[in-house]
Amino acid sequence: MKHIVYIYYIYIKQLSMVMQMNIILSNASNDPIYVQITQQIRSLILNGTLSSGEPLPSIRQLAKDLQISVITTKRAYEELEKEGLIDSVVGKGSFVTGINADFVREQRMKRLEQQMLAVIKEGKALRLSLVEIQQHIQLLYEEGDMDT
Amino acid sequence: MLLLLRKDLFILRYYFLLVLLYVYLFGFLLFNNTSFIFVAALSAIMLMTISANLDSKNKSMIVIASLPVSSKSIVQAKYAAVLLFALIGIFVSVLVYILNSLIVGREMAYASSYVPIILLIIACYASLYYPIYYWLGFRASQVVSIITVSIPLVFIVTLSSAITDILSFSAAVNAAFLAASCLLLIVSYRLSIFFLERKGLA
Amino acid sequence: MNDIIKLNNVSKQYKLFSIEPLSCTFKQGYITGLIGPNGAGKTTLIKMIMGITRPGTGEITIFGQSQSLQEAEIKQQIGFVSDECHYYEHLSIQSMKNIIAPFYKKWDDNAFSRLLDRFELSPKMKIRSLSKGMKMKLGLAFALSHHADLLIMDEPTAGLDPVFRRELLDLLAEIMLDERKSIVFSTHITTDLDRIADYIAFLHHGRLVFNESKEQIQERYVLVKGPLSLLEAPSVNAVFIGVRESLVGFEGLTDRGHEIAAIVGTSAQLSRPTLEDIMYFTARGGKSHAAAIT
Repeated sequence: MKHIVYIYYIYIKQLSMVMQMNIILSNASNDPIYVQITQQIRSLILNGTLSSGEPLPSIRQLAKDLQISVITTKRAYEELEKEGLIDSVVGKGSFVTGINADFVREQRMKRLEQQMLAVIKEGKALRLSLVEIQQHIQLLYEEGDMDT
Repeated sequence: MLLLLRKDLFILRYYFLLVLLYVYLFGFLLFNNTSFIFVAALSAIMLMTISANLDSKNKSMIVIASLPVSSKSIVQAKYAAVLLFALIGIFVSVLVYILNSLIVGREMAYASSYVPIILLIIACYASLYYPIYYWLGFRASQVVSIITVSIPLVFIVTLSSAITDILSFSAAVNAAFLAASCLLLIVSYRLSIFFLERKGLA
Repeated sequence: MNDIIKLNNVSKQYKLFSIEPLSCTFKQGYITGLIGPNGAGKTTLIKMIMGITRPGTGEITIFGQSQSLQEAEIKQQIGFVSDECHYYEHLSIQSMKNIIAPFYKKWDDNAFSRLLDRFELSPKMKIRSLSKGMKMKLGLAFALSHHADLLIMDEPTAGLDPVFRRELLDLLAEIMLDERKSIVFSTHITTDLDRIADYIAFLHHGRLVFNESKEQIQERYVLVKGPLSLLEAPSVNAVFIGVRESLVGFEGLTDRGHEIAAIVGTSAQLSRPTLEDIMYFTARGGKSHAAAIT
């Protein structure tokens, strides 16, 4: 009897955990809406709020909830699919792919690398030398240490 | 088409009373030898006019046009209504005849030619009215019909005191009247469809 | 993805106004907004699609069927709402429903009652006692009660208060959860479409300026705000569809979204235009732009 109650409890908990995702769009942002959606869902996946195998709202349901065009949500999901973060099954919907900690780390490293490249590019544009850039980073890193 | 016809009858509802008012006027108060013809023709024509008026005042054409009916059936329903209103008109005249003999105690003039004449009058009106309605719109048809119908009707009424039983013709002439009515309606129907195709419903 | 409505070389001539031969398609499963200033031809186009007016030239195909040949069948599946939809004033809502319902094979009385409840209308109300907004809601109730696959709406929000307009958009979004349904929505209040439309067709002076997905439009069109001096260079000036100059600068719309950053660099501010901006600047720019696009 206890087992049955326990299993039921897990089931209910799973159901209530589904679609806890929050997506907030900004009109003021210069990013197209589909980019905002992609970014937010990506963050939710990478930081674990959306776990692997979890279903996402259908593109039409999302469009209705956000009051935007279905084409936009479709595009956002297509982008996420291209990155391997979600899988779309015809007739069933879209699900977060089975990702593990290594994959998440790899994705985040990629993003970090892109940010680093941007830093380097801007540094070169401002005619900073490698050493100057490194010194700057060290300063900020240590400041950050003191804060935390 | 039948649904549209049903719609036309349905919206007339209380306006039947208005028609009965005129029936009382011409069937009892202004009684004369042509009353039978007059009451029937007037009833039918009034019903036609009120129906067209209702559609025009309410601007209901767009709603009707959005219903799953072909434009042909819209016109067909109008002409079916003409026949139905004619029947109603004749029925009303028969009632007036009966009431006159039972209650007032007088015999209303009637000859076998009367029904063909009634149908001819109604056919003339409808044959003129509807093609013009579909060609030039509601206003134009109103103007034309008022002119073309009131003149002969006034004519008949003023002459009616001089008429005793002139309005009785041979069977051949009666048949000719009926044939002419049919012909007029058919030609007019074709014309209405033609104008509808060219100009649309609204 | 199917085309639910296909217009092929459709045109119409009136004395003072005409629609140029245009061909376009509307896709199934999406909301297509038909925008344009008053008098651009939106209502005429919709009337031609509905068979209320006959096109001067061209054919219209709906659900793959010819509009002129299978009118009645097609309209079984169309729900139509228009600013000009008027019902018989002397009847009650119930009576009007009794007139309309038998025409439709798939009429759903429950759906109609539920909608009346939602719109706070009672079947006993006389139509002449309804306000403009309520009449529009009634029209919607009729249009949505026979499981129509295509909803055509001509200025449905004109005369509606902003609160109900938003609720209407919610209602439409609910309908669109079913991917077999399509909506064509003509309006000059573009803020409604900025939110939910998938495709936009822009009609201007009887000409189809574009018919694209909103995504594509937002990539192509860019609103540029900058100093007047920037306009002096002919290479810059040529890029704009329409410009509004003032004493403190200019505002302009370009459809060369991909190149504009390279052309103006950092001397101007670039932003996403609303549909209203696109309509406004196209009108300002005049006929030259419309001609260039087609």
